[in-house]
Amino acid sequence: MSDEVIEAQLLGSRLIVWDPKKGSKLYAMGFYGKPVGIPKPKTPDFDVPLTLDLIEGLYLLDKGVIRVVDKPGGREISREKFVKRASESYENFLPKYLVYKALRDNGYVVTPGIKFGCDFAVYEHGPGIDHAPYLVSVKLPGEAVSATDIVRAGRLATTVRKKFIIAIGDVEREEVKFVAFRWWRA
Amino acid sequence: MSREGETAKRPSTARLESGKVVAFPDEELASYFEQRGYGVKREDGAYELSPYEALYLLEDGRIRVVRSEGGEALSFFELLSLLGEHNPDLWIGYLIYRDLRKRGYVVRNGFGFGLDFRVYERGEYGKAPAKYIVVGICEGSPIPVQRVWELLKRIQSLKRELVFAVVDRRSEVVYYTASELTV
Repeated sequence: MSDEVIEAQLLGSRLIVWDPKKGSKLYAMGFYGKPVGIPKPKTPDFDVPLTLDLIEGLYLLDKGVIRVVDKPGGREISREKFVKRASESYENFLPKYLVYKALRDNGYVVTPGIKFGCDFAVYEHGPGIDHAPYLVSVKLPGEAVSATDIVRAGRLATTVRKKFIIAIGDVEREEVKFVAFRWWRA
Repeated sequence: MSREGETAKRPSTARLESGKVVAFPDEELASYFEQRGYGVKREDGAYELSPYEALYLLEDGRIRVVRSEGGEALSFFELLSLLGEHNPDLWIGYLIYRDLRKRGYVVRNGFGFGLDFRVYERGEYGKAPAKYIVVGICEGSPIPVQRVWELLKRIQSLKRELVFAVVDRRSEVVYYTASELTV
C-alpha cells in the first residue's frame, strides 16, 4: 500500500472518497467509512464510493491519511475550517471527536452508534467479527445522567449482552473518562 | 433468613418519638435485629430504627408503631406520611430499600451520598463490610455526570462497588453497576 494522502470531498455534512480503490483501502484500514449502498460489506473490496462521517474524517485528517477538498481536484479545506463546519452541522462535535480519538488511539474500531440509540458502537476487532459492540454515549462535563438514560442504555446493552458506557468528553482539559454500566441481577 | 419465630406472633410495639421510631424488642426479636441488621441499639436496650427500617418491619408484621403508650397502632400510610414530612425522597428510598430486603440483602444507611444504602453480600452481614453502595436515581431527577464520576471515585477508594438503583414510573427497581473503564 502506498502512503499517498487520500482525497475526500466535503459534501454537506459528509465526506466522500470517490475513488473506490482508495475507499476500499480506508475501509480495510479499520472499518473507516461506509461504501455507498452496501449496508454490510462482506469484503473491503468494493467498487463504489466511500462515505466518511465528520468525526472519522477529522481523525483521518489529523493522522494525515486524508486531505479534505471542496470538490474533486479542488481546493483544500483547512483543519480549522473543517472543524468549524463540522461543529455547525453536528451537535457536540468536538467532545464526541475527543472520545472517538481516545478509543481509536487505543486500537478500537469505532462506528456510528445511531442504530443502537447511542453515539458510538465500539468493537475490539470489528463489526461482523466481534459478537457485539460496546455502546458508548458521550456526555459533556456539565450534562446530567437521567434515569431514562440509564434504563434505555441498560436495556440496549443487555439485549446485545454488552457493556454500556458513558464517556465524559472534556474538551477544555482534553480529557476523556469512561464509566461502564452493567445490569446487576440483584 | 431464620424461619424460627415466624409463626403468628404478635408484633412488638414500637413508639414514634419526635420523628424517630424506637423499638423495644424481646430477646428473640432483638437477636433477629442483630442478625438481619435492623436498628441501632441504645444503652437502655431499645433500638432506634431508621424510617426505612420502621416501615419495612411494620409492613412485615414484626412491629406495630404507636405515638404514645396505649395509643392506637399507626397504619403503614400514616407512618409513611408522618416520617415523610421532611423527607420527600422517603417513598422512593423505601421502594429501593424494600426491594433489596425482599431479595434477601441486609441494607443499612449509606454514607450520605444522596439516596444511598450500604448493601451487604448475602450471608456476609456481620462478617464483612458492605460490598455495595446502592444509590437511587429517580425518573425526572437526573444527576450531573461529573457527580457520577466523583461518586465512582469515592466509592472505589472505599473499595466498594457502586450500584445505581433506577426506579421507574411503575415503581419497579432496576439495578446497574457502574465502574471506571480504562481503555
